[in-house]
Amino acid sequence: MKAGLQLTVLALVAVITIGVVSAFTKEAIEAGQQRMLAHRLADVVPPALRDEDWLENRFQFQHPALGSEKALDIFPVIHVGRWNGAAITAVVPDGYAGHIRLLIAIAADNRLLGVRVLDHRETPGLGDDIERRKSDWITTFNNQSLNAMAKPLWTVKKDGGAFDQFTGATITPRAVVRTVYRVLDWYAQEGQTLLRREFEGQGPRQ
Amino acid sequence: MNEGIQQRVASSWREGLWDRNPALVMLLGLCPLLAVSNSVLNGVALAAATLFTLCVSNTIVAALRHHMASSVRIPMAVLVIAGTVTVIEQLMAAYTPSVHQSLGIFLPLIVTNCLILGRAEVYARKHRVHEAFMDALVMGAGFGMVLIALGAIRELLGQVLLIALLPPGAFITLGLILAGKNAITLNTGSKPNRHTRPDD
Repeated sequence: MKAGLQLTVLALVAVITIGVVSAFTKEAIEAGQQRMLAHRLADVVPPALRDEDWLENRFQFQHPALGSEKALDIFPVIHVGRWNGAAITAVVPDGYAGHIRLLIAIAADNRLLGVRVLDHRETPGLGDDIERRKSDWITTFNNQSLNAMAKPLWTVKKDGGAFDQFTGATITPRAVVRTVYRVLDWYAQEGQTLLRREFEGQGPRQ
Repeated sequence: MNEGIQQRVASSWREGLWDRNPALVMLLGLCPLLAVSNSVLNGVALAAATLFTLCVSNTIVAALRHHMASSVRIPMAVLVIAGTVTVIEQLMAAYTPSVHQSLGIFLPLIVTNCLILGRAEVYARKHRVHEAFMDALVMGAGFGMVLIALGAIRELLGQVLLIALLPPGAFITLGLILAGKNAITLNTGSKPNRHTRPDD
């Protein structure tokens, strides 16, 4: 009885402390994530395709193809009024350790501009080669498209596809490739139209 | 400060940094030690986070030592450690996002560093607050010292030998450091490692 009380009191104190710190740091953490996102975005979308202030085009969009029940960030790539594609945040639901958030930039001609990992919890040293700073693997998506590569090739080499798996980690790259394919396919079928309509429906921005 | 205390402080530093160095003698916390030591910066960051966690957890465990029933003392210690690490993780995510990114999963994994639970269990719960804090400082410093040294050696060697930066390089380098330490210990006539137990 006494033991239970002691444990309960300590747990309460811990929860309150963490809650306070979390409320206190929330803003700074979000600001940091936005900076990181802006950096990744600038990395995959070439400057010629976008306006200086293109990040302000951001809107939220929900679709099952994006892998989440929540609305996710979409960044229309606009250059002097011309639609050049979209940078889409998507979720890989079936990674090895929880969700992987991806940034997938697709041009107006349904060609991939590039893919980057925003965050993940994959095993360090095995699955984390999906990170750009750990390896070049993620750049194999550059310039790929459904026209250039047939559907069966959109998986890891072990399954007869075109993408390298990592030593000791097949699940991670396989899941990433699957999600990129799913988003690309959706974008080509109907996504681009939906996103353009959604964006243009919001009227001109300041 | 009288001489007795000074001597005790000096000998506890000697213990933590050398005689019973948690990384080199007790071989605790090897997972983060080997995985995150590929650069000095990572080493410093993880060393600081571990040291801080150890100080907070030892202090709290020592302060609560009369209020921890033995049936729940380990869950309570784990709770203290996990809470501390969560707070540190949030603070690092907020104010040093790039370090937070490069430490990745190893920051939350500090919770499982057996060095920290080990010190709570064998030392902090039987000692007064200031003693437990001192113990955390020297043990954390001993662990951090090895982590930073390993990071420095691997980063330097990595300029010419790629393997130093890869996982095998971590094992080999730590092995060499251990061998060097044992050689010095044996030659100076101190007792060899195998007779030192973490719980004596």
